[in-house]
Amino acid sequence: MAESVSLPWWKVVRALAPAVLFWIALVGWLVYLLSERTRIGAEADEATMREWIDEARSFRKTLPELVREYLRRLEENGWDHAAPAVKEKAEEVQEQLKAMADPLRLYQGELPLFPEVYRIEVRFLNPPESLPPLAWDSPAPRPREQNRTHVRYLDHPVAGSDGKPAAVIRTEYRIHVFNRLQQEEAQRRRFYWIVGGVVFGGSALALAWVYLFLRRERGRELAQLQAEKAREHAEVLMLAAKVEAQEAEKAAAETKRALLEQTVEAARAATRAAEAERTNLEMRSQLYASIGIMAGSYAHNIKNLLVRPNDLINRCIEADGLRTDQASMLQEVKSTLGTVTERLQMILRTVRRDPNKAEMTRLDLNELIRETGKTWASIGREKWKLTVRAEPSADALPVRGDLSHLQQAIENLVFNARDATFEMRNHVRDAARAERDPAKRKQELIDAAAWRGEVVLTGRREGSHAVLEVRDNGIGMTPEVREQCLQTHFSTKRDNALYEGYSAGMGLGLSFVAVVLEHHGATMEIESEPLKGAVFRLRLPLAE
Amino acid sequence: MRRFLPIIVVIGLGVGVAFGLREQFRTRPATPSAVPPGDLEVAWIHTTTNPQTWERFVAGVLQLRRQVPGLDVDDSRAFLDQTAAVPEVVLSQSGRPGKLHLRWYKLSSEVGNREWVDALAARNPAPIAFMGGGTSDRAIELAQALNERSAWKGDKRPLLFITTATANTLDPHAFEPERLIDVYPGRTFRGCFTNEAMARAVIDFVWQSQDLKPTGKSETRAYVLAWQDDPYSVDLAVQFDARFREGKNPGVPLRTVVDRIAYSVGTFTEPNPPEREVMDRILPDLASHPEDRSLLVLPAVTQPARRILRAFAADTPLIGQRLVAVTGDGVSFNTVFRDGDVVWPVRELSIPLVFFAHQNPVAWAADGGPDDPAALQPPNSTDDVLLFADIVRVLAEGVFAGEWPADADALARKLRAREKPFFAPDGERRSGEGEYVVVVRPQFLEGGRVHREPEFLVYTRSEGRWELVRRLVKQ
Repeated sequence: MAESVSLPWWKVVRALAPAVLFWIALVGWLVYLLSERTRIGAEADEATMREWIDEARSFRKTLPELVREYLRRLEENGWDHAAPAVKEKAEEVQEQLKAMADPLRLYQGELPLFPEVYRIEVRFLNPPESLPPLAWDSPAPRPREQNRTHVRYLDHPVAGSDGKPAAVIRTEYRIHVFNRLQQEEAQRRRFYWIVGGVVFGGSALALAWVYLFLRRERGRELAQLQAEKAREHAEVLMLAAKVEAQEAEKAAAETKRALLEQTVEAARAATRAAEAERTNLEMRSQLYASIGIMAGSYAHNIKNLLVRPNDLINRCIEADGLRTDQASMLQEVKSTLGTVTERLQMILRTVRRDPNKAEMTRLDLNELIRETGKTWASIGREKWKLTVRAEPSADALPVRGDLSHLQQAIENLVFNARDATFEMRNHVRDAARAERDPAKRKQELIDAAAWRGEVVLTGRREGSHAVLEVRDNGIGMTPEVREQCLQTHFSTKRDNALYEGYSAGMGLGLSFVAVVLEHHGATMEIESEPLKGAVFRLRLPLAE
Repeated sequence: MRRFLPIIVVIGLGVGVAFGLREQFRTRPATPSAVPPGDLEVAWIHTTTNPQTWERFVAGVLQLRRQVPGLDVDDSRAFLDQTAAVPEVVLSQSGRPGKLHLRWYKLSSEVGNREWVDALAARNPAPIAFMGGGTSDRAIELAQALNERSAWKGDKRPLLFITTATANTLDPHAFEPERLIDVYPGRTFRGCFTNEAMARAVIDFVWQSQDLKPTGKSETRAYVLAWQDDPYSVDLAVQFDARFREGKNPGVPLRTVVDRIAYSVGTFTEPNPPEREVMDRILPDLASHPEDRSLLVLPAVTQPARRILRAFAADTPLIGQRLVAVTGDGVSFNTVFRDGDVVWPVRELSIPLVFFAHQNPVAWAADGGPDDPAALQPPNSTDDVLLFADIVRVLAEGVFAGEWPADADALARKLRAREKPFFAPDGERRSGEGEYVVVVRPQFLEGGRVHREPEFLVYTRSEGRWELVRRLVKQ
């Protein structure tokens, strides 16, 4: 329910003043029209009489024209109304008055078409008051006392030559004898009074109603405005909350964006790191290559330097008179020098190989298996704590290939197998250590200590191919590692503390193997699962 | 205060608008109507109290439908509801874009000839011609107003067509009388005959009528009255007197007595004092010559003439047997024939009357009927209608025949160059033929009685002789 609102009186007046003024003007105009309407008969009568005075001519000139001529003549004669010329004109005016009135007398009793005129008098305004009026008087008696009200008086001004009123023609007349219009006008007047009262009262009531209506409407509008304002306020709050939420979302988006940017930046950093690592690896490769060259040079020099000691040792051994212990020591020195020389030769072979520059010869793959096993069996057993075993085929396995490249490729596989057994050993050891049951842990530690790595080189003939398998019982590979292991610079050993001190982790070994096999028209299969070892199976075409 | 400022402004605006509208709706007495581009206007100036004359004028214009092939007359705005409005008749011709508007600008006590001339001169375009001068005094006033007005829109002064004003001069007693046709010199044309032509025709007729011409043993007498406030009356009196003095009356010498009456204003029946004074001089003179027949020249309009004749007949009932009244065109055929029972009761006015008509007053048509506005039906006289028809026909032929007149000068040249001249070189109507004379002759019975209906005789002059056109006696 709207609350009632009280307004200052002047505000109400100000608000309603134009309407009230307009209403007063309208009602006033209506009253004026109605009042004019009620006396339209009298006005029509007056208009008729005025037209009669203005336009009636007994001879071409109207009464006002003759009056003006009379005034001119008076002026010409010094306002002497007794002058003959003035008297003559006065007589003419008198004749005009009579000529105007006579026809009416002729038809006396023919009201209202022929008014009864009792007197027509021309009064002069500006000349001295002594100037007598010109008048015509009817010989007929005026109406009796009770009919006096029927006699009307009409004062009709006559303008002089300067346009200002110079005279007044006063006419006493009666124009009606039984005027029903007058009666109707009286009735109409009464009716108009009632209508006016109804209009005025109704308008006042309407005005009051309008005032109350406006007041009530204003209260309603105020309440609506307040409700609207409250709603708008709530909307504003809601909008503010929305804005806040949007800002929060925006902040989250900003954060997300920053995070993404950081991620991107991190990715870029990783990319840059990878690039740097690759660069580093390349640099290291180059370094290793340089080192290899230097090492080759040094090894060659050292090998050359060892020729004389070997020769001297041989002479000493061949010399007579050596004691047994001396001969044994010399034999040991000779053996050691032989081992050093062999190692230098291996170093020279290693650093001088280029897989893209093969020197293809007919080889026996069984011999290569046998040589590799013989070479690494003792080192494996003594230093790597694993078993390197060669199982050549009973059938001959002649192939065409570069001995050095194939030897190096097989050794790379052997080295990978070695590393896998190292990781497997660590894994077994860590698993044992992780066991919480001491008894079990002890047993598992014992088992781990007894665990021994194994690398087996096997040769066999399959159709037109010679097959060489390098099998280990190492840590094995996941499918992802197995798919990427041939890519250059891919390595699982990088940053692994296990390989500290080994020239490993550059990711070049298997890619070298793949390149060598490609040049020999050979293929390689890899079978491996995590913790289940791996098999690298090489198929080379048999040489006929 | 600032709070009430809008209200005050609204009220002020309302009052201002009310005053402005009041000025807009104020009656302006002399407001000319607009003329459509390419059209011409003739301003017919006539008094407000004579609507019958406008009706007869319109009837005369409608005659042109029969007289001028191809001419269209639009009278749809000839009779308007408001009496203060400006009615008009529009003439047009098929194939011509321009129209000729004949408009009635009404003379009233507020607006005279001069006011209309000023108002129409200020309008663009000004009328090509004015038509007016129903009476000589108004013709003089109109001609003077036109002549004094020098500034006209388009710098072309209009022509003036005088309809029925017959005075030859403004003041015939002046040392050098100024002719009415010369008041507005070179641009005035008169459609009716002059007082001189009328006096000459009436006297010529009377001299040829044995029962009307004056008789006497030693001399004959002609009493000439002249109303001094009426230029027409003064001029016509002079013209009659001059014709008498020409001595064309065969036989006994004629004595002319001219009496001046100061003014014409008077009642319907009784002579005014100056008239009574003159009659008091004439009646004894007439009584002293009971065997003679004299002429009474009444150069006046109907009312003064009737007052005089009524006074003579009242004094001596059978005076009509030895007195013949003659006048110009001041008494119309309608007055004595159509309205005779009221306005001209012959038993009260039992004196033979000879008056002049500018056209045939009894040219009633056999065809048409009361509903035909162009039909000429008895008992209305036809002379005024036919005279208006003649004037407008000449004007319309001047406008529509040949090249469209660019201005009033061109129209004047065309009027003067007519193959069959209607106007004399000075602008007067050519006379010598086409005049009509009407005789109202009381019928005297035995025992000094007078028949209640007079005899009406209409004559016209043809080749110098007067021929009877029609004899009428009301039954």
